Amino acid sequence: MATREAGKKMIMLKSPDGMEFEVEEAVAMESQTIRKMIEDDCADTAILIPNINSKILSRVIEYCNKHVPTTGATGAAASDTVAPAALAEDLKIWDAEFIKVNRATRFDLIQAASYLNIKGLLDLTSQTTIDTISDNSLEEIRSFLSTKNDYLPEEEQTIRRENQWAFQ
Amino acid sequence: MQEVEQQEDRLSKLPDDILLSVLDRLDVRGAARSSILSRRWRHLPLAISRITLDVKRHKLKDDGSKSALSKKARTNLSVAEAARSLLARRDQRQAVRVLYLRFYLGDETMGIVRAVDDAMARGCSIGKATFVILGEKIDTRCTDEDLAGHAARFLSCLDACPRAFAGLTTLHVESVKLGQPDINNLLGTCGRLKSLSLLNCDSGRDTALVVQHPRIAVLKLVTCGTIQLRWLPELVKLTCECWLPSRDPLLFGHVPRFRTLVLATNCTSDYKILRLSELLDENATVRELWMGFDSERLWIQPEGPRQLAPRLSNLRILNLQKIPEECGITWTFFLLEAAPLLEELDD
Repeated sequence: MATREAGKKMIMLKSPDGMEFEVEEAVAMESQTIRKMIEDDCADTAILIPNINSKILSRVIEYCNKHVPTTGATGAAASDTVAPAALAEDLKIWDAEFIKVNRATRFDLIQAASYLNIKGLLDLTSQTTIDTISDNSLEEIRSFLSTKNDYLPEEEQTIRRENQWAFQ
Repeated sequence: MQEVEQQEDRLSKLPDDILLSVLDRLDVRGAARSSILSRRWRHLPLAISRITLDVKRHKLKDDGSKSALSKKARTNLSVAEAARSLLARRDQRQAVRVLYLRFYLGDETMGIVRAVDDAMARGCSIGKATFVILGEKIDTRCTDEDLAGHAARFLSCLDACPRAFAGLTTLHVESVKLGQPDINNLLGTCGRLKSLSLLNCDSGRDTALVVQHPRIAVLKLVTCGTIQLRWLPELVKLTCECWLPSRDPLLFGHVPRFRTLVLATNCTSDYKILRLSELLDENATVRELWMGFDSERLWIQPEGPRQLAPRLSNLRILNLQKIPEECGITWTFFLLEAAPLLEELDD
């Protein structure tokens, strides 16, 4: 009760490399995984986030900070003064800037977004990969993902046959 | 060196569930194609949790039209193949969260329904499952013979693959002649159904088709004969469009949770003039009433508040569309008078 009156309840997130991040509960709850922990009362003082190093975790927190509803100015006032469309446009531009990272970082962010179950971040981080897989030739996809084709020619033929409808 | 190595095929090294969450964002064709990337990707498409296949969006390569089948039949066939390959080998370990299949009622329909039925038989659980079964012919062009033929085809799928239908949460069927035993059979089989939409499905008789179902919440009837809502404890919304001119569209029965009624027609035939006091539920369940008059004349007769008020006493929202100009706002007074709790009037 006291914390609520003081304004915002804070949560401590710890990365496996020992860094601690203090974030508002509302921001942390952008992650469905963390939300569940908080709602189930599994979050005492600090939540350890396994598999996500401090560099990636700080980027994830940055994303959640930006995307938590009524961020920035105080609550209702913000939605009164800024049109929702303009707000959405602003977020889009911010997202586009945010995702300008190298491929390794993007894949780390995919993994983090998936583990923490943050739908918006997973959509954002997966999008380039999705676009590549839907629009390009097989060789282009393999080269983008640095995937080696380890099929034998006859195996590849079998798969094409089994999924013929998809290669029509 | 370390850095370069890390960049090598990072995506493929992610665990299955994460790769699946990426693949789930692709259309099913893209997901299926990814199986050819490498061995790592081989079995992933068989585990995607959202499967959407739609004949209206399904791409077919032009094979020079050497096939004797129509384009619709070939698309249906390709959807059937896709459904088979995506659902094949699925069992209880690979649940489908969302299955949406839109296909024509044709010779190949059985293959599509069978693919779902087989997956169900292996214990594959499906969260939301939708069949949108389209007629190959536009509904207005269907003869009685067509409707009977479609019925035979539809009912044979229902009888052969009851598990597929038992798993459905949403079903749309069109241009199928359904008698009372057929409706009973359909509703009895589709035990999970939450939303049912029937287009041009008539019994061909003057008697009302009786509908009873424990779960249906949303019901849509377009160009159907009279429907009697005998026992629908979960029904919330009913849409009724272009009913048959000589009939009442509806008969209300036990619908305790009902709240929204949409009545609209654009047919130009001579409609029977309806009285809301006779049509609406006597328990005054309706809270939202939408009426569209895109027809040549009004099909509602004004009535005094004494008859109408008992049926409209809970009405909160009234939406009237395309009232003929000569009627104007004064025509609507009889509705306003009978609805003391009305909060919103739109037109």
